[in-house]
Amino acid sequence: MHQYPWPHPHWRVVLDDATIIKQGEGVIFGDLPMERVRRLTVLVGAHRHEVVIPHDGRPVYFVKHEIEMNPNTGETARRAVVCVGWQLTVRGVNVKALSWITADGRVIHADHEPDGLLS
Amino acid sequence: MAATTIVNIHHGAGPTVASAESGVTFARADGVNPTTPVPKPTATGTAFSWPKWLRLRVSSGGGSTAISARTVKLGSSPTTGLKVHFKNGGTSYSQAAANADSDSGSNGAVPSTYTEMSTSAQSYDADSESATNSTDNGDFLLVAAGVSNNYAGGAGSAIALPNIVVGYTEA
Repeated sequence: MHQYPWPHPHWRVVLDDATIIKQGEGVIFGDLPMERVRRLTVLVGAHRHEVVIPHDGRPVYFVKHEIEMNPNTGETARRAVVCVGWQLTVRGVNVKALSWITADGRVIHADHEPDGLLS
Repeated sequence: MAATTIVNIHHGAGPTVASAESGVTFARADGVNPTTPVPKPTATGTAFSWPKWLRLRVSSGGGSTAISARTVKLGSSPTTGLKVHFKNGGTSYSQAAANADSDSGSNGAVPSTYTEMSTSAQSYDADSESATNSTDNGDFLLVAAGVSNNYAGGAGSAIALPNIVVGYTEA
């Protein structure tokens, strides 16, 4: 379990023409020109995760959150994990290289969310 | 940065909005912790609570992300005879005024239009919506409880339900 408070992640991308776009500059990650992103950098606290996107690949970045509420006692737990990496479709096959970053600094490399990572 | 969110409960005609994270009581009345209990059926059957109107709200840190893939699940399996159910409530609030469904003659029944909540994440609103501070995010999540005749305990506030886990993806 990875409870809040935890370091909020920040992303930065470099496009194919060397343009740099940072989170907070008015663009939501999902609105980026994904096919033009060549490098993705995500800062999670003091940790810096850099991803080089392969040709024809697309960056992957999201934070998965859970809020667990005990309706009986009013106790609440918050958990989150950051996912960064890239995705590429090769002859119709979805190929992914993903890293799952936990609040305590662990980095797990897996092409899908590992069981029990959040709960 | 990531947005900070809370799960609120909407109740009353206004509605009144309060945190759902301080505990809620499933009962046969509107409110956060109403006291009209859900009766345990005296013969085979299931009685349902009134629904709770829950909704995510962005409290801070919004402005540069979007939230999508909202899910709900139970933290553990409920005791035999107890179940929790959910459905998407859209974006228009309507004060709870009745049971989630009329009483059923079967144990373990699910109210019509609802889905039984399990320990695996189940989608209730997949749509992407910008995370904006001090703003509700996504659709309402309606949650109700069911008590069946095969529940070993009796009625009362001592009935403990499993934890409810709301999840979402942010990018």
